[in-house]
Amino acid sequence: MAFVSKRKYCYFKENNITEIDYKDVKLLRRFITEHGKIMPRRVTGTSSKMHRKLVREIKRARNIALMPYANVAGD
Amino acid sequence: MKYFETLYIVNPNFEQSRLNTIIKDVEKNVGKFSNVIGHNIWGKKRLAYQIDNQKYGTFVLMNFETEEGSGIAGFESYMKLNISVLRAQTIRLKSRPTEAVLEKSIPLDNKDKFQQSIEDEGKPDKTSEDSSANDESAEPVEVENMKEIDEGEPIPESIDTDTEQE
Repeated sequence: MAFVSKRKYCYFKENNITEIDYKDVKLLRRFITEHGKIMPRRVTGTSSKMHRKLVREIKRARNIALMPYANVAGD
Repeated sequence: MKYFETLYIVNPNFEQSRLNTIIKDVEKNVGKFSNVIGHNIWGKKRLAYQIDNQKYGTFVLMNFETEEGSGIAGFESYMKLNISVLRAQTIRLKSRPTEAVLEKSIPLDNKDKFQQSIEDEGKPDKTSEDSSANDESAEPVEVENMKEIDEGEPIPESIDTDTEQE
């Protein structure tokens, strides 16, 4: 049985998004795990350029309490 | 011209009148070295984690422009020392904030209208002054802008794992 891998793509390139805003929590939430950790780009398929921007904005959102640093089970 | 935006969280237990005075003070401090473009009160919102034992916070977004960025450090230290402000974050913008952001904010020219609207909103709250003293019993103040921004809960529940699974 042949293993067919799903093609990864950069979400931002597909949707023509050039700038990411830390206030757009709905978008940023796509790129963190259920524990609140930032997903690696080998998983999400995000381009290197946009991943750097994404990480910066997620950290800004964390600082101002829009997003969690960690989601511990039971909280 | 350099453009900045500051998002700060005010103690959620404060009444509208007290919130108004805090915003005025912040405006006055920023006005020393820059022009305030707009103030946008998001309203009461649940924090992703507790700050000073507070689960909720009143978010206020402020945009301002300045020729020199020398006053920013002083402003940031002022916000840090301000007890009423739980947390503040100042970000440098690449360009003037978009109209969508500014439309929601309240322009300074209509300051009197802004004052009146806050006072009108504050009137019914006078009856609930006693209840606002307790953290748990204080109900979130509903602001129209807030509903548009806060579509979901800040803490993620479901994450798209389409890209993760292969």
